[in-house]
Amino acid sequence: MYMKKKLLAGYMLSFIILSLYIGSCKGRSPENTNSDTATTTTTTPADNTTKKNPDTVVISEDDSLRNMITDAVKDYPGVTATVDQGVVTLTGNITREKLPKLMMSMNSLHPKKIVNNLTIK
Amino acid sequence: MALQDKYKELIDAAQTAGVSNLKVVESGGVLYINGKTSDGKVKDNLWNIYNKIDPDFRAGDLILNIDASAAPGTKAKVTTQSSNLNIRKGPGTDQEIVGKAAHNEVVTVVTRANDQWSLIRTDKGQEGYVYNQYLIQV
Repeated sequence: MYMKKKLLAGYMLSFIILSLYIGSCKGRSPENTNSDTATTTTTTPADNTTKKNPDTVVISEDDSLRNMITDAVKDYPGVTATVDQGVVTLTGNITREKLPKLMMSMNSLHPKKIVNNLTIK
Repeated sequence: MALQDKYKELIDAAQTAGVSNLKVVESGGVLYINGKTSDGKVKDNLWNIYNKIDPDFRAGDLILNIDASAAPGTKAKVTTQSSNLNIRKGPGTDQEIVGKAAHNEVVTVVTRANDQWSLIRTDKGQEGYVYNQYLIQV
């Protein structure tokens, strides 16, 4: 009888250790995959849930960005926009009055970054 | 965290103004601020703050995407510089122009095709797609 109890306790202990080990592995992998997408990294579980959700930055594909940019710069003669790996580079001329509207338009296309090399007249 | 400090005034203003779905994420030396508002003035104010912190938007360290375009079923005003707004057969500038909406004209937003284009109807019954950036909720 005593032996049975001891055996049962041993089973339970190893089960707990095993589940703890599996649990810690599970927690680790999503953190690794997300480490370069967000710098607001903490180890609290609450933050882990937000990281998997919409907080990761969505960047448009280059082809899709190029299509959208064609529409966006159409009304700004003298402005050229190029796309490389999500980075939009603006060159050419613009007036200071028109610049915010162009930037609003560019910022809504989900680029990775916007490099503004425009000459402001 | 440094960028969130740099643009703190902007983030605070967005929170105070009740911008919905507000998300602030810093990644790879760029701060991404996304959110939605039904008030075009809120968006303009946030952009004024952005322009004040980073004059002429030269730093390339912020993507500010505040969506103030009109929701389906609501009225929107055409906010072109001064010209008419092209109404197109489909969502894209490669699509045929089927009509024009005047500067400051108020139109009805029927559906939102995507982030850039909405299907609208004018008071004269003309229907087609226009670029969201030129619409502001009224």
